[in-house]
Amino acid sequence: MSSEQSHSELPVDPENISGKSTNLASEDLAGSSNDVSSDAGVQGGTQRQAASRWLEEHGDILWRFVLSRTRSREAAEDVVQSTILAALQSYDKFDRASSERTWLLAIATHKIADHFRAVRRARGEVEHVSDHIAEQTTADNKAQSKDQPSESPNADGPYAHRPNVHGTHAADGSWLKPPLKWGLDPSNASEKAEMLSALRACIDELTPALAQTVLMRDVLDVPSDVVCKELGLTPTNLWSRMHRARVALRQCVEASMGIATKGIAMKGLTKKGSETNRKPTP
Amino acid sequence: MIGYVRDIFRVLGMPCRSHTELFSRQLDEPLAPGIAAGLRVHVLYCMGCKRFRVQIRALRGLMNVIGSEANAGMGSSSDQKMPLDVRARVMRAAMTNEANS
Repeated sequence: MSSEQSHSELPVDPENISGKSTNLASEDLAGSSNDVSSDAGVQGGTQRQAASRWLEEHGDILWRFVLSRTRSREAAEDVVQSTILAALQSYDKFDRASSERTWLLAIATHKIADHFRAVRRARGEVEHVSDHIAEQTTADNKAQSKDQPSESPNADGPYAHRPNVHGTHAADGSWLKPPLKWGLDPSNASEKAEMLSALRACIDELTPALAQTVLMRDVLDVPSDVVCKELGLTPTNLWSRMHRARVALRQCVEASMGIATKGIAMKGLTKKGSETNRKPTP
Repeated sequence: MIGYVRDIFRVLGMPCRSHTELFSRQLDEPLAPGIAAGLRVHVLYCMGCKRFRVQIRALRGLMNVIGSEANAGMGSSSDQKMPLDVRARVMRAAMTNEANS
């Protein structure tokens, strides 16, 4: 729809960034369903056969995916192992709405989220404040989604009534801290690599529920309806989670790349900086 | 047609926070034509929303890159395949699990 709009503000073209490889990824995920022989698996044979086949057909993909998130071989091994064990236990619930590979990767996203939760606990960090907000919002959305048909876009926003979690908007919903210009160049390999590394770190900082949803939807490019089914979410829950995750990631990447710091330094000191905060008048 | 125009004005009357929600939702599903048109008009004069939209799309693109790297094994070449010892230990765990169940 509006994807043809100018991208002049940030010369990062998402189309170019993802490029062919994205399509390859999604085709790979989608195509893998054809590889699955229907009589294989826990029901048709022993658990050993199922696990062996999964490792044979999807093991390397699973390994790379998990390793790219945990960045430690030991942790990746734990996650892969618990993924396979969980898959063996829940295979009878696998309804083939997605390919077997997507299903395994979805379980892995659960286990990755568990891993980071355990790491945070081990570091003695308290639960994220946003965890509570997330739960509250999910409850809100559940209540709300009963009243609304999920397929009609709720144009007023699913949580317009919510307090301003990220501090970017004023009480009336106008911009308090509008996004700053990033001015990054995607063709510059080092800038792209820096952004990717910042983004990876930021995904790890998300709450497990948000990280899991983002990994499935945006990283693995799993269709929305499949994500909803795998995670047991209503479409409204999914949009709400994805929006919160994207807002958090955008701010986190901006801060990691030093963009926010520059902006704060500018604010109030230069004319341009003070103009940034002016509410746009329709 | 009336619905289309009404949607445009509805979007234009919303606060920017709602616009950001819609931009995000647009990455997950197509919006009603009037709502999408309203957003297109809004970004003509709202720099904050325009940047937000461009930036979350850029992040989506970068996340796709992370996903395709994981899929294609474009990271460190030694990490492309699950090591045999890991594979063996995972298999052993699955067999132990089977024996216990």
